[in-house]
Amino acid sequence: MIQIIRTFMSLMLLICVNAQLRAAEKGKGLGDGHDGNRSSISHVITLYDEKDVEIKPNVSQPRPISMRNTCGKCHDYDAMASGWHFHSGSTNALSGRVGEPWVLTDTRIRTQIPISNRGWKGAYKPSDVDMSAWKFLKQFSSHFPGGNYGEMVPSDDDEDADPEEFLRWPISGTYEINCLACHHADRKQNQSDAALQAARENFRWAATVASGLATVKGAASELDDFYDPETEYEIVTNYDKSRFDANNKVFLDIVRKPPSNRCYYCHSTQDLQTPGKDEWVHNEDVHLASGMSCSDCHRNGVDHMMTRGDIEPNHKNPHSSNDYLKAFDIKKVASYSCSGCHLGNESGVDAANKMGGHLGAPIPEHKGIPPIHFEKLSCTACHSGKLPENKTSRVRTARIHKLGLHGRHTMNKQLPHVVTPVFAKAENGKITPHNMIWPSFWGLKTNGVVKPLPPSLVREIASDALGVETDNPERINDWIELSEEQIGNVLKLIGEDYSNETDKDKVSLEAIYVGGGNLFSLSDDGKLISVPHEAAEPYKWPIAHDVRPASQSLGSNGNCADCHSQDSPFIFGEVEVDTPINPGEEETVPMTQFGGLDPLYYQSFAFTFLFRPWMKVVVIIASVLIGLVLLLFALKGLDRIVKMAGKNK
Amino acid sequence: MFRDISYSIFVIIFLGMVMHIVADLVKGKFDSKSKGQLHKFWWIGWSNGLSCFSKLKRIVLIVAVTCLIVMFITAFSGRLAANQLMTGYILMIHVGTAPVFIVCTVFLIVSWGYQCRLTENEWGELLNRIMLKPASHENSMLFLKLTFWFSMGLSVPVSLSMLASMFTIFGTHGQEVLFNIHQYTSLALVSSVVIHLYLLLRNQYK
Repeated sequence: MIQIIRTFMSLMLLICVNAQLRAAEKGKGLGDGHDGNRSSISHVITLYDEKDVEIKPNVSQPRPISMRNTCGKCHDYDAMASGWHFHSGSTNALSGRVGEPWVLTDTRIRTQIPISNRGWKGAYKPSDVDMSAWKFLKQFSSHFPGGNYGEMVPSDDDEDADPEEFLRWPISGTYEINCLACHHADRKQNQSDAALQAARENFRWAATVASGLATVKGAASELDDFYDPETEYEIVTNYDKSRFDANNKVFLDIVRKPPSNRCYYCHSTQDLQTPGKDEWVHNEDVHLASGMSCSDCHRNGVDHMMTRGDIEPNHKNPHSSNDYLKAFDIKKVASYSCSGCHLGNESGVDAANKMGGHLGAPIPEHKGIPPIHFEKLSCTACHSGKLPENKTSRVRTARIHKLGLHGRHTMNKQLPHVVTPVFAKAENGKITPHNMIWPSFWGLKTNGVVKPLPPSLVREIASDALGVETDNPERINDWIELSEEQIGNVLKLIGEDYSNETDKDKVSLEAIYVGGGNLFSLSDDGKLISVPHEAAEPYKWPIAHDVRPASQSLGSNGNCADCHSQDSPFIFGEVEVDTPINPGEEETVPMTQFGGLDPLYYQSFAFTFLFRPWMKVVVIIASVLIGLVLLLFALKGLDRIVKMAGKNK
Repeated sequence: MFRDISYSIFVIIFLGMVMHIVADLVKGKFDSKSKGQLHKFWWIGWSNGLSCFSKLKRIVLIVAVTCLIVMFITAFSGRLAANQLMTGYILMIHVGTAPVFIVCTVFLIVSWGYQCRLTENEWGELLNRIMLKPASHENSMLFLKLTFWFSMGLSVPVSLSMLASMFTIFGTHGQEVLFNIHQYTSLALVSSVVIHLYLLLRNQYK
């Protein structure tokens, strides 16, 4: 009997657990999707901490909000974590169109390395520079949406992990996806505060503080390795009690479509021709100026795979990455590209998509522009970015130059110099405006493959040779000048440091420096040599914003000379070469080099445009004369027909 | 589509000419003149005693035909071989040759137009042919003259279709229509000129 009762009880217990798990699963994703009602949903919600305990502001030592547990109650957190903003650190990160990288900079050792885990050409993976998830956060979390590297806590059996990091992660906590960073429309949402918390290694608190719901005192970075976050309370969270109702619920102004203001925090670009006090002269992207938001075009579903505007109608595979295309519903996504909206998507899923005109997008007439242009140029070539000038100019971007940090942690980074617009061929073969940086780094060439050395290691090896400790070194063009003698000395030091490894593994290790498009190394007799090298090529990524109004587009009003003149910056512009070696010299390379264009041909072609007006006149006169003679004889023929017809009574 | 149509038309024209030559050979029509009597430039209608203007007319004809050949090769070679449109230097040669051709065409229509008008007999033949009645065609110049006028007529839309695209009048769709007009009228022009030249040479040799 007892046996039966025991079995029955166990069975009941199992059923209860199963029911609870199912209920939890049922709740997951409850808020995803759309029931068809267009009114926004009021989010008066209970907040939960990382232990899934309801947050009450009046208790002592309340913990910060966990997005996973709070938003995850109704939304599928894991589905969102697979989105474009959150999966780059994973082993199967999608590649797709080359994008803006993270840039690891250390001006003292004259280093700027494009970093991305997406396998983009010219960018190095974090692991290439011994950058763990922790180090990545330390370096780049000022402009970071959370998730991704923020949740890559090393497992206990990870033998490669830094022991110190094992100790620091529990103190700082994970940096969960900060849903509010994008979806919180409240003007109190302040990502600069999130950046400040991240700088203090308060990753667990970043989202809470940025939301304006609480303030935090204390910095994880100042706590010793053996601080116990479960029992010690050096970091204190103070919630704004006025934001909580009687049921300890909080109203969060959550919107489905993130306002552009949220996107701008990480995706701003500053034109350095008119910075500072002249900032007011800048225009916005023409789409935003007309009342649209970023997310009107860059849409996504629950999976948060934002459309990037790069998959266009009739271009089935614009990238080398097939997986990237598989991640999108191409027919739908293509309808929200430039041409999808403005020209229609012939392969669209419905009549509206085929017709185009989303959100009132006007159908461009492109009067006087031969269709060949649309095969050779991207839409952005004529419509986006800065209007080209004889020499490329510079911009700063929010992520690379850490723009948008207010107050005490404001930065004024000038390096790396991002040059723009560079008209280069994109992966789809079309000429497209790009932003570009010239990589500079110390590294090793192993059996012909170049990899950068972690800047921290170079600092250790060659601190004196590079003058790392020098106070207020002189800067030319924002760089601390690097002489060829210094390069030689540092390469020797690096070579010596790795000589044991070379002997041991019998591999060909060569210390190198990359800068200004050249790869520097030491010859067998110890002399510095430099050669152009693939690894030293500039890293460039296509840009699409700001989109200029049609009247400011290249070739507007049929002005062919915008591009087809002998001094057109679009074709014959000069691209700045940025390097710490002789930084005062204004070195440039021709734009045609990046567009894969034959300068002689384009000079000749531009030359023919001088005669085009004459040709028009000649052809018009000739056509009129031919027409008149034809008319003359046609009338004579008609006369004969009339006469012949008249003879027949 | 255009490539297939072009291939078809050129094959039809070529086969038509071959059949025509064979038929003439079978009938012995090329026996009337011995080769010794022909001027070495007989193929352009050159003969002793031509006036300066007559010589000029023939030279201009040569220039026009040369321009047309250049434009034909630049435009059709890539299209027929690989269905590729002209780009680069090929395009520049094509565009550079066009004005010369059109100027020559003006000269040709003015200078040859009177000679190419239809005579009483040719009008009769034309009307008979239109009404599907039997018509005498011994030594008839009707088709030679018709292809002349047809070529001259086609040179206008060929020129204007490209000229119009250089103005800010037509948008993308209009540009595509103009391009189609240009390529199809060019095909018709080339076909007409080939037939005309064939008939001209045949007429000169007979």
